Amino acid sequence: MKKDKEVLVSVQNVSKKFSKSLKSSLKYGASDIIRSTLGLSINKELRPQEFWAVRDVSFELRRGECIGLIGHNGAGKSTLLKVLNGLYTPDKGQIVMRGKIGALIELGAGFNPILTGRENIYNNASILGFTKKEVEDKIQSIIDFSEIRDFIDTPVQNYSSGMKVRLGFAVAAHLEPDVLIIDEVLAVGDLGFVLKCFSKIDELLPHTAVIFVSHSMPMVSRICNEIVLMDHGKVEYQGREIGKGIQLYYNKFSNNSQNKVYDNQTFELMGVQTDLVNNEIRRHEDFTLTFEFKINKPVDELPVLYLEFKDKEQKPIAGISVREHKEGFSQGTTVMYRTTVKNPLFTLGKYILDVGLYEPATESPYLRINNMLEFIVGGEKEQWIPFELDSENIITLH
Amino acid sequence: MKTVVYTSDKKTHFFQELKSISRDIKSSNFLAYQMTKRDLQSQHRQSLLGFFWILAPVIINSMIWLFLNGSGVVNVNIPGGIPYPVFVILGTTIWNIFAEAVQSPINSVNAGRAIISKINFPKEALLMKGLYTTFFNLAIKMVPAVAILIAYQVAPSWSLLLFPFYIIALTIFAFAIGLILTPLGLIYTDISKLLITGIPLLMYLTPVVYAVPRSGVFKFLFNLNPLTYIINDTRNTLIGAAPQSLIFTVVLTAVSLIVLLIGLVIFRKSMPIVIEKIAG
Repeated sequence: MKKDKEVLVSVQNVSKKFSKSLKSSLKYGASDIIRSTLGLSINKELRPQEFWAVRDVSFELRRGECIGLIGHNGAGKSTLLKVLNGLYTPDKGQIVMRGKIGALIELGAGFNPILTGRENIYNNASILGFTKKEVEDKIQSIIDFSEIRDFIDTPVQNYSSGMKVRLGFAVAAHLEPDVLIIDEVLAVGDLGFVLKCFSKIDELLPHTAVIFVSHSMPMVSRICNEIVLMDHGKVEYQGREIGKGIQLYYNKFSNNSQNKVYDNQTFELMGVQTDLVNNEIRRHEDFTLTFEFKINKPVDELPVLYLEFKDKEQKPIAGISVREHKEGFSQGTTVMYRTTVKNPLFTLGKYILDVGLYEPATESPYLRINNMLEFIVGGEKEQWIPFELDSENIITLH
Repeated sequence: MKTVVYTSDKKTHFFQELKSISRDIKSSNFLAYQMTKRDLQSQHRQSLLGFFWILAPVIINSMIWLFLNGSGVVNVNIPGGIPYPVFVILGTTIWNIFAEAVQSPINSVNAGRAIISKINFPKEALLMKGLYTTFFNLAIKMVPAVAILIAYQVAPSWSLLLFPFYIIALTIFAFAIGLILTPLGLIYTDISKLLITGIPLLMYLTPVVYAVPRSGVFKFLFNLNPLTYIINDTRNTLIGAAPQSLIFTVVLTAVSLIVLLIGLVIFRKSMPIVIEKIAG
């Protein structure tokens, strides 16, 4: 990336406060209006009942760059976006924005349910800052992009939520902004549309500065080249190591509670053992897991032990089936499963193990336990991908 | 390239603000037009009688007073020479235009609550939408007024030429009052409730359905009310009588325009505060 690309967004020590109760919030609002009318200064520090929703955030964004804002619910991401979009004035600090700003904060805001899709395109586009001529030039392209040509003259109240988002995005995407602000808006559309939106964003990205808020880390890692992790209004991590930021985000949520999601009383878990120290897996170093079950009810055949590794988003990423055909054992016997995982290729981060016992023939479960164990994988580099494959590489120059 | 700066300590003086207001008003004309069109379309698409409902309050109020007067329940005092139906229909029409214009700024911003917290656009467009809608409704409301003038064969005179001036003066006066109240009125609903309940009361202190009392404390109250002069004169221009308070109205309009400009600056400065408090 060229360093000489112009800075489009410059955020310097921005803070924003909110009041916890409506009553005091209205009171402060009224007094602020009166004070600003009379030209008196407004108190910038916290007053009773107030808190910092966004505290001391700074960053700079150039054309062609994308910054991802992540954090738990209520961390201040959306407030920051509204400050960036000029909807709220910052209580401290300063924001400089250059060029045309397009915000996808809530798609289809201002759609009138009774009017048709086509009429709403005109309205929505004019609110977003299109001129009359621009709307007329682009309306065909907007309708094509939204893929709802057949219903464009139907009242919007009969649209599904996905269709409204399609229409909203189609309008906003045609604004050709210099700065694009996106707030978790693509979640409603179907996969086809989300892919289409992303290819549109990819198309815009080289000549746009994008500020992206999402809870979907795959999306963040896909388009962002800098990340800001927020927690209770403050910046907890800010930098260009996307993987690290995402891991820190995940570390905020831990779900250590073991959940027995299914148990038909046939098997009872007696014990789990590993040869790992503090459940820490080292890349390329084999490790062993041992599970012991007691057989409480008669069964014909020994069940399959299925181990499933999940990443932080609860996405299954790897599995092991431990099976051996054995018959004719009596009730009350203890059965031990031992498995050695060879050359684990996990990348740095936390992984969770789910365990299940299944009938070999029908695959119906006897026992399923989620979040049985939690592993930490060491490594040097924070990466977004769960595996880094072993490979033999040759690079030649001619 | 256009650069915007959002900062906590914005130091701009009055005339700078006015300059940016006028720039925004110009640039958002298409938006205001679209919003007006959208509102008119959506309001009347779901109704069979459509635009009739704009007239309904005028007609109903006039009929109430025609009934009260005709049945002898109340004996209203009206100036000689005008048939009472003409007096009352013109009066209520003009009053209704005033009442709508006062509430227009606060109502149009309230109607835009859903979008002001999500999209950044010149909020002045909402005010212009209110003004456009007021003028559109005004044109429709004039229909019964014109009809009654024709029915009673009231001949206009040269003073009809002053009617547009008076009606614009009335609208600007009302709009300026409404605009000054808007920022606080958006935060506390008390103000719009006060308007809704107070305006009908004020109507009885204005020569709308009856003329100014000839004596007593009420005569004094009527004379204190600036609306007395504008409303009487506006009606006079329609019935061919000579206007009596032209200079007063010109002065009032000048004052209203100044208040309007101040109101616009206050509105612009307080909108970010309002948005943050009322629209999540």
